[in-house]
Amino acid sequence: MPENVYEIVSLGMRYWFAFLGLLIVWRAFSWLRKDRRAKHRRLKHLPDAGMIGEMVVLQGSDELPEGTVIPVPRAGVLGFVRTCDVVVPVDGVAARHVDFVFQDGKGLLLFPLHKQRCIVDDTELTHRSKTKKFPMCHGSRLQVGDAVLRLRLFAGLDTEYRPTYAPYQPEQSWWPEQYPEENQPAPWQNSPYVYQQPANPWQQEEQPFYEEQPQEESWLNPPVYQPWQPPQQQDVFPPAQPRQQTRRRRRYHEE
Amino acid sequence: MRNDQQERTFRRDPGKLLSSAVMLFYFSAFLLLWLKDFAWQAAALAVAVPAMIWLGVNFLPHLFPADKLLLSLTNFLCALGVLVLYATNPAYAYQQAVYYGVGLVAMVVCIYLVRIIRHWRIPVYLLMPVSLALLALPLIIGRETNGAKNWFYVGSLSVQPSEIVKLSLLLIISHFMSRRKFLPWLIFAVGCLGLLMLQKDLGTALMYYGVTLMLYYASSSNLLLTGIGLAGGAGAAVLGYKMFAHVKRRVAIWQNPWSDYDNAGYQLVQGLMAIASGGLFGVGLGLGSPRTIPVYHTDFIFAVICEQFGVIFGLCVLLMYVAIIWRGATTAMAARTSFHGLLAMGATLMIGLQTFVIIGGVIKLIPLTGVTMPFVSYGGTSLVSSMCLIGLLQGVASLNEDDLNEDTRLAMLGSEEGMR
Amino acid sequence: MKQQRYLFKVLALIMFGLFLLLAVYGGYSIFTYGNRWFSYSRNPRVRAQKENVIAGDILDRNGIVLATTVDGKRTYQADEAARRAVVHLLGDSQGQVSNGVEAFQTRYLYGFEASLSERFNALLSGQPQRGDNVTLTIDSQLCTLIARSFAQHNPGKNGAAVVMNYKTGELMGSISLPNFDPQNITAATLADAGQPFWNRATQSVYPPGSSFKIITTASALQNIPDITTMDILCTGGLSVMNQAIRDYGNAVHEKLTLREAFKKSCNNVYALTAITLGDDALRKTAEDFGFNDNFLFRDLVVENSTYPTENRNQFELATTGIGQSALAATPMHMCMVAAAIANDGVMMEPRLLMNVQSASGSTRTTYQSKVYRTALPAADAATLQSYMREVVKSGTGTRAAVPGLTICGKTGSAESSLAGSDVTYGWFVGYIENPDLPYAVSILVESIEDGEGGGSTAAPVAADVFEYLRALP
Repeated sequence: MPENVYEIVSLGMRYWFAFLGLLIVWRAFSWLRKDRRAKHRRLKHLPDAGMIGEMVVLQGSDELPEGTVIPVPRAGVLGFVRTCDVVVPVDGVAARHVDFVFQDGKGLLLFPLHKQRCIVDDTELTHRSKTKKFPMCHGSRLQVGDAVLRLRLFAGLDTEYRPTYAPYQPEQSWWPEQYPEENQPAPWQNSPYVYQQPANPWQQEEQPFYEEQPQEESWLNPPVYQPWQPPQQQDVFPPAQPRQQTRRRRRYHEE
Repeated sequence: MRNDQQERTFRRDPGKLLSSAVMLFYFSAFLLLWLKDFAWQAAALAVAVPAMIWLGVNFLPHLFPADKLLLSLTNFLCALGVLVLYATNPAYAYQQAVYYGVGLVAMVVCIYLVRIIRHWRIPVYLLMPVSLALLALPLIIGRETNGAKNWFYVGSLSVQPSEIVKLSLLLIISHFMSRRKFLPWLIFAVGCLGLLMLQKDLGTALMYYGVTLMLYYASSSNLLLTGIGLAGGAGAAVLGYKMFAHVKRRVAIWQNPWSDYDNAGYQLVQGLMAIASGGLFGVGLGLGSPRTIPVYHTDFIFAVICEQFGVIFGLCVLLMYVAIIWRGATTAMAARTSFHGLLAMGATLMIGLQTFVIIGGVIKLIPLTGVTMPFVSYGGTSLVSSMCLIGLLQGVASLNEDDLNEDTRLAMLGSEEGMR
Repeated sequence: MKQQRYLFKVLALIMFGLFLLLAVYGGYSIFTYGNRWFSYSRNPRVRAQKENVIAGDILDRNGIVLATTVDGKRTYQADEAARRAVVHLLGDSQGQVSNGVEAFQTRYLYGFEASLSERFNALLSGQPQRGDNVTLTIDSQLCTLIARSFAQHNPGKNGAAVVMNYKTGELMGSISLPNFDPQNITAATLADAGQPFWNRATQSVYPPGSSFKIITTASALQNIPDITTMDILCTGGLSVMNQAIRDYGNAVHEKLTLREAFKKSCNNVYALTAITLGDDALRKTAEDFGFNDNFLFRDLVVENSTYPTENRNQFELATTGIGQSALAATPMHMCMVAAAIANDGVMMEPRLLMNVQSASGSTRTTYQSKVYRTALPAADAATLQSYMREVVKSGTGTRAAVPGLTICGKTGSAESSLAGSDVTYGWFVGYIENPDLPYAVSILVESIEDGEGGGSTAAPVAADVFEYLRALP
């Protein structure tokens, strides 16, 4: 094509290109806006999207009464400030207290921030290696500051093991019908299948200031009849149900 | 509570008009170039490029829940590179078209990697020494071009390792940051920056530094350490200015390119002239004299676009990058794990910062540093790595989509409404 | 995660901010400097276009053709004196003069602005494309007259002169000496040490000398109450920081009011006034008059004037008050200063282009007058007008007087050291006080003899200009 004709065609076409460019940009931005609305609409129907479970407050404060349920995401921070994922406005909890992440097949790992104190099932997480050993599972209890929280996981999430005081033994009934004698160990204690919490060597037993001496029975000192009472109910939680059919696909095996 | 009408509106594909506009754009543009000298190559590209776009935008989403908007915009920008290169130097355009195809494949591979790999620990620990070694290679066997020594040749193929290491940097820092480990990524990032400084590749160093710092701030929200990092970066910049002669020269050119327009400021002055002569609507595709700009095919391709299509179209290109960033940030915010969020945000920031650094350099907002314009500039490594970045982003987006679908399914199973 | 998500949003906003910066900076710089970048003489696109397009004509306000293209060659007026006088405004086709009309209006002259239909018509008719015709506001005969008068009163001297309409800002004439003949540029012209290609009216900055006292007076009128009635003592030698500031010819004026000091151009009084004003007040007034501003006029490229901001002490301040120190201004800017006083404090933007017409005769654009800035209140401007009237009536500028016209003005002699030797510049800035002849003048003569001043070198040229302007229909 002769050069001057091409020049005129090309000059005419530039408006077409500018129009198409503007059209593409306009469509892209309107798409972005539309998608944003659609996402909000969709998430409104899915309150649990992205959550792995919830924390139930066992001991809280005026601002966080007992029984409150806080949803727990897969990873986040627990603390008293609003920007945290799990907000616990209780005395003794730091602004950003503990970092947590849920690991499939293991449990909710806790990483205390800035050497904050953090007790999981009566074990204090003092070191990173302890964090790995004591993940939170379904029914685990967490003590941060003056707050006590219990974790409840949604069905379909699997964890490595159960806490010692709530073992899950499907071949036995979960509470023996025959009460054991006083000094006998419970059937799950000393079991090789169950994780045994080691005794804390630093924990000192309370020494009573004055100990009453047992007195011999005599007519002056007749035995007082005490009715039998069942042993005090321990902190037990019904175990998680076995795996459902509707299992979440495992993907996040990130350590 | 939606009725059927709303359901249909909700489901309707909003991208049909967009992708057809993109394909129409390239069809008409290559047809116009064909009119110029009736070369069969232009006619072939007029068919091939829209076909490639169709493949990229409409076929890929059949494999996994891909983000069509991101695909359309990315494909538009890649094809824009091919078009502008064809209008200026057809030999470059054919190579770029091949790399465009390779880039699409690389993008799919990246998407699958993100979707499949569960344990990033071992890959990441493997990537660290490999990346550092790759980055050190140009220092040993590289050749110096334009004052920077950041290339090496494998046979006839030139490779810029900093473009590849970009990807592993993102994987490494997002892995360690999401695990709250501080030292490994710091060591890696400092090593990378040191090697880049040795190569005198300051634009890339600036990009790496910016992305690392921004991701650290997002993951830890630690203002104090971020501030220290910022101050350290500023100190390093001042030190670099004092130490390297070519940095001083670049800054002097930036301050007044017109004082030495025949030698040092020639590039910048020619770029500015090209932008100015384009005006609002450009001088017309295939007209003007874009080849008078020294590196019109890589660094100054934005000036060429502005000359050929005008400032309005240049602004549109800028807005497309903004849309990509918006989409990337949305994807990162919807990610379920910290790792995936950081990965998506890192890829977004990398693309955004690179674009800012090069366009800012061309329009004389900041000193010019030799980085490529993502997707558009000529260069196989650059195009493929940019497509890989989009692949990482797409991978995270597809995981998000999967998760949301799973949540929806569970909610439907659990609710009475679903049972009925 | 929540915090991280929030910070992602912040980071995305930062990126949007950066891109907004790109768009705003890019748009702004292309909008303001785009034409300057484009019309740069090194632009290869213009060179390419010159081979395909016949450049348009340049006309003056009376329709005299200043430049046209005959058989592919650029030709100028027949009279050599006439084409030499306007050469700096016009520029040459080789691009030796920076920012002349030939270079700065390339967009029009070489048909870059031609619309699609015009190109199509050109294609159909089969003739080569013609550029647009540009009409300037200047009067070619006036330019010739100024050049002749300048050479007559100051033979062999370099210098510049600017004449503008102070009500509209239209440039009536402007010359720069030495000049050259655009029709035959020889190797000797190119190698001339006197730099004939340099447009001294807009591209060179000079110390304004006593003509800056207009601005010092304006500042005093605005900032010192009762300055008009105050008596100020001139001892003949004011000692500031152990350095003496003396008057012209070591004169001692004793007691003076500001009016008399302005008339006699008393350095002592103005040095004292500047010290009393302080640096901030004086600088503010100077910046109101356009000093330290980046001049971005639509169709003229004027070098920026500077009011010094570094190394300010009492002595520097005192010398600034009398127009020395590191002050620098172009003749064009000093003309604008005089014009602002004449126009009751309102400074008009100078302009050169009257209109642009396409080759087929339709008007492409017409330029309108625009206010550049308000320099000082009208009341103070009126006071200054009366002072300037005195100067020409019975002060230093009597040689600029023209019978039958009320001329106001201010002379100046500025000292500067150039290449190791002291040089004196003679200035005259002034205007006609007549609403029908609203013209302001600024004349600069380089390196005048000892014992001469602006009143004896520049003022006579101004008188000739006023004489010519009076005869205008």
